[in-house]
Amino acid sequence: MTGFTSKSLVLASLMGLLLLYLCGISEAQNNQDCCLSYTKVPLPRRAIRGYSEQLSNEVCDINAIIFHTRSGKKACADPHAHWVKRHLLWLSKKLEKMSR
Amino acid sequence: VKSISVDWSYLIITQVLTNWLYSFFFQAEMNSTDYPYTIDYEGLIEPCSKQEVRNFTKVFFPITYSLICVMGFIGNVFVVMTFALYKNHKSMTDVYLFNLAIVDLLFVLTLPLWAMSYAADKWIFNDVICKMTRGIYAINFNCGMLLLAFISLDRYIAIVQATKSFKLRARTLAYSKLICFIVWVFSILISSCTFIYSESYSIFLNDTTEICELKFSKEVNSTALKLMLMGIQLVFGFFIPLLFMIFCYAFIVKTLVQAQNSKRSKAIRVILLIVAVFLVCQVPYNIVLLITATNMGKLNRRCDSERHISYAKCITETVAFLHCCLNPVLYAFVGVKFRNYFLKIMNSLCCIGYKKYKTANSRTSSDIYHSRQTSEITSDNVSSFTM
Repeated sequence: MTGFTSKSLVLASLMGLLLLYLCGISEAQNNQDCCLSYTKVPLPRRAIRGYSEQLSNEVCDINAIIFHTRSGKKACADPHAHWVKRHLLWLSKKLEKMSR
Repeated sequence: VKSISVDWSYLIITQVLTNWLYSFFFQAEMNSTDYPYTIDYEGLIEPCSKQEVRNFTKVFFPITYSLICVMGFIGNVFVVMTFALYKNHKSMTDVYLFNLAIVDLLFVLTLPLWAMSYAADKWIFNDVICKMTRGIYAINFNCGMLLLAFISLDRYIAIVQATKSFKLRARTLAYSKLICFIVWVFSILISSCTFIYSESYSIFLNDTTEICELKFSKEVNSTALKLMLMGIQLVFGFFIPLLFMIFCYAFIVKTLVQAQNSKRSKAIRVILLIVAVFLVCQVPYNIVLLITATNMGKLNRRCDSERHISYAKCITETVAFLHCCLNPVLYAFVGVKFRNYFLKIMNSLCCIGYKKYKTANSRTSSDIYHSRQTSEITSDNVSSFTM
């Protein structure tokens, strides 16, 4: 019985290894502009023109909200930060009002 | 009258408000300096700009990729042609080399697409071509490395285990096509993730550009997945082939040193060259991959060091790609027999036109195996072509 379980354990780990191997991948060039850290100080609401999302499931590593400011700059922001969430809510409400 | 005036003021207010809101989102025609909200905020952190790197790759990749493409195409076409027209007995290593040349050829043919995309600074083809090119890239990487490991293993069995492995080798030779088929299927399976997850999509990071990159579903922990995939590539695409090669070639060299043979010094030199080229081509790129993997998903990385890593990646990747141009020279053209046969084929193609080749002077398969003795295996009997 113990022999059987150890054998199946080996087999399972081998299969696991194979499964891992099945997903071998090659990294190509990624020279996109990515947010590497977050703006700590909350931006004033009226400085923000719009936003875009940086998702970690795409080229960049970390999740971030990129606020587009009126001065044409981009500000990386933490999507979990409280002020960011509030700003996003405000922006979406504004958009809703506009589309009405 | 009073009610009308109220209505008017209401209308004006709403008008102003909507104008204001409109200009909030569509600011193109507005002069932003009129606004009091254009101060540069302290501590505003912008995305790390890699424009400088892209300006470099825009010139660098089209040039290097075209050079690698032309060299790799010529070298590997010659190898494929020679093996295809070679009707006599092929050794196991010959079959591996034939497959290696096909893999390299496929890969080299995708380089023009990448070169064009880098020149345009965006992915200019469709989703299917994106999946195909990235898939072939991955297949080449995995299949090529696997074949290099198998070639070293085959040579090890031939030279070090010569007397013991007589039957084993004969049997593997009989199954050579099956083994290569398995290697191919395996490599395609390995690369299936690249096929599935590669996508051409647009991003908003710099301008809205179309890129051909990996994209995972939102549900999975993509940082962990990316990290895992990179780790697997490092282990299977580099460390395992490296271990195989070092182990096999070390024992081969040891056997060769002990053997009495006139050609052994050449064989040792060729082996050292093969290992050295593998190290020079693959080690820098894999170090950069390792650094990228350790940095993956970490916050607060420095932008200038990111840029340096990007430059390093461009250059080391090109060096790694160079490997597929060097394979034909290192593995096929070093062999006296291969060269002779290649010259014959070239002669027949150039002078008399295509003619089916039936070489009378080549050995039969039984010759190779029956004449195998440890001392004389050393150089040209390893395979009918190599070394």
